[in-house]
Amino acid sequence: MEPWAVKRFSMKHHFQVFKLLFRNSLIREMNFAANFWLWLLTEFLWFIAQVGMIEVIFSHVNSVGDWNKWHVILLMGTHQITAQLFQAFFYMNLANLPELIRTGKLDFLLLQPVNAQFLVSTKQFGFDNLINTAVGIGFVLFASHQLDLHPSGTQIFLYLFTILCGVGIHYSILFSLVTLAFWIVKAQGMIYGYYNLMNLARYPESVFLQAPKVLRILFSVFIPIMVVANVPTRLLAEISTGTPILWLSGSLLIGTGVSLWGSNAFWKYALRSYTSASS
Amino acid sequence: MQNLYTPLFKIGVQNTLIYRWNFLLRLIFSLVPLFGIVYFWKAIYLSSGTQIQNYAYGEMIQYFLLCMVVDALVTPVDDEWQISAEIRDGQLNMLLLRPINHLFYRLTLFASSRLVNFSIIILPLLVAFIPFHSFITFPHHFLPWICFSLSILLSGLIQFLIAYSIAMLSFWILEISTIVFIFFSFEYFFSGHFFPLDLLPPSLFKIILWTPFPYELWFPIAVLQERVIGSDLIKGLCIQFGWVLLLYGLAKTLWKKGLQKYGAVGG
Repeated sequence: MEPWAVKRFSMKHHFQVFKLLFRNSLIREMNFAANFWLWLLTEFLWFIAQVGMIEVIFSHVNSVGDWNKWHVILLMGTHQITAQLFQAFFYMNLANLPELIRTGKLDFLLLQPVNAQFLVSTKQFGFDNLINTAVGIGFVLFASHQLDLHPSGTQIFLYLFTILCGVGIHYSILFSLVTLAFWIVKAQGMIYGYYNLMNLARYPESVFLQAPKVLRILFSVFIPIMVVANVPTRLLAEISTGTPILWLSGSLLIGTGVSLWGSNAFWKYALRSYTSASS
Repeated sequence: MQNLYTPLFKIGVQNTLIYRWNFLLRLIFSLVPLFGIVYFWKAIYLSSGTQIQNYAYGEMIQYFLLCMVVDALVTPVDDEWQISAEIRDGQLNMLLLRPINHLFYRLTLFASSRLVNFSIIILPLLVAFIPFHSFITFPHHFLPWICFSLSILLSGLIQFLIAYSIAMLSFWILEISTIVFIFFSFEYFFSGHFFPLDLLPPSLFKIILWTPFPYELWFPIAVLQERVIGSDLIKGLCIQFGWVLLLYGLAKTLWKKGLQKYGAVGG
């Protein structure tokens, strides 16, 4: 399956393809309006359940390490923004990859004159997730107000930039997991794995400080879930204790690079051994 | 009669083990949240003293470890999806021709898959108990253990019947996943997966005790931790049993109504 899969295409070409895919997704979404609202509600309820948990726990305690309730809500909102942006652009597509492999429909995508990883990652766009991103933004703004934060322009820029890094990390983790489907036929276990790993990203850094150093390094560089939501949050709200922010930001950057590169290398390796479902 | 469901049970065991890697991955990943929970509560207890409500640190960790045990033992994994697929794809035609009761057929498969799952996951879970064994205590007399076992059994029935009833909706609508997830969000929150339910504000807690959710998870564990005793224990078991009967009635009704609809459209 060499030729198209590894051939390079220009950014402009990809952008045009994406515009078409985006348009298709919009048309499909408008066809299934009820489904749109139900998924919106589903994601919303799960987020509210998380906030409810924080509300109940903080009715009994004052802080987790140096993090107070509003710090934690800020973290939850940040995690929500990152996760929902990721889901809007990529989630459905990646979750669908095992099915493409199992049925052999992947062949068809590999033959298209566009980078294969790009196509399997962006085919369908989730509009309901954009609204849930907005819910996350709402909570971040509210928590910032409660904490009386007045971030500078640089801080806001860094916040947005690190959120983008976070989206990249979400992407590489799920992408690596579903690429396993080239060898393991049934892939529900991997989607489940993504959720279980990513749920760890919602814990404040003060929680990770309780873990042994080996785990902390594992979770900040190799499977960078510890920095995914914590770095943007700490860039916005100054929390004095814990790992120095420079160190954390550095591991976020390295973690994003390592995981994006690693998942891409793994995908290429998997494609080389792909023999299609029917042949 | 006894020979009818035994082979089904064996098939269920084999089905669970077909996709070995998927099964193994699921198993490994199901232990991941444990890390988060342990360190999360450790951090909380470090900054807030030794007791939260009436939970000491060890009891809190024990609560979450027991959550995983109960989950592994009696929580359906993809039974509702399988049943829904049977209805949608028409595999049901084949099942209807056989002299078996569909609900008991699915219950047998549910029981067998839970048995396999539990017997494998219990080993790593026991290992997880080791670091905490010094501050984890279990009841010394029989009664809590007997009530716990009974309560676990009823919890399994409640969870299975809910999954079965939701899957029955596939007779009317094609795509049940959103309904499953929406219901699941309530189920997850109010069964006590996030925190022990007695941390809820007392007024809300009292209302929740009348819903089936606490009896899926919180109640059996509270029985084993001897938090629910005496008349509350008897009352709880009665409510739990009541929900089993109610949900059984609901499942049966939906099945009957659904079959009429199914016959009219697909047959």
